[in-house]
Amino acid sequence: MARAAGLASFALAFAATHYATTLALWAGHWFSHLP
Amino acid sequence: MSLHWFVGHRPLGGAIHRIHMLEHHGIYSGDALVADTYSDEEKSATAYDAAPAVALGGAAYATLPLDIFVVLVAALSASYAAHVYVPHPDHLNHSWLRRFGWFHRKRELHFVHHRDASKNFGVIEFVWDRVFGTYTPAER
Repeated sequence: MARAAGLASFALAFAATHYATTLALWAGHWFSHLP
Repeated sequence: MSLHWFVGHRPLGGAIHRIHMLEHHGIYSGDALVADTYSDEEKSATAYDAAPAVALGGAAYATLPLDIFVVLVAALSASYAAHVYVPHPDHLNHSWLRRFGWFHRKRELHFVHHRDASKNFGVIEFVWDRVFGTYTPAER
């Protein structure tokens, strides 16, 4: 049970960080197109 | 005020803009979207792209428990590595990634961005383009 909860926490933190990173890079890319 | 600041008082954004528009879009434009080798003339904007990661890592180290911080650094590193090593072969004629269908699909979406710079700002992940309304599918 604790192992499953640990894996689920890892997956959640990993996915959240990945999408936060892609959002930051998306924003940086968008910003680079401002005149 | 903020638009004024964005447009007129942003030396950091200005450097990113110059590197990205004049070099990346300048080199890979029109029908010349792929080449046999990388251009020596293109400068890297990685130092600017890495700034949010450094800020996020510092803030996370100061506030998060160690185990969560370790996961964050792992995810941040994997995501940044993907953004460095997946998009750049988009513009090469020969890449080991060309054997994968997903690579071709993402490459076509990125080429849409080179034809219309107001679309598809994502490179490996287009979910944020869908969220912000800038997603345009590739023509078949």
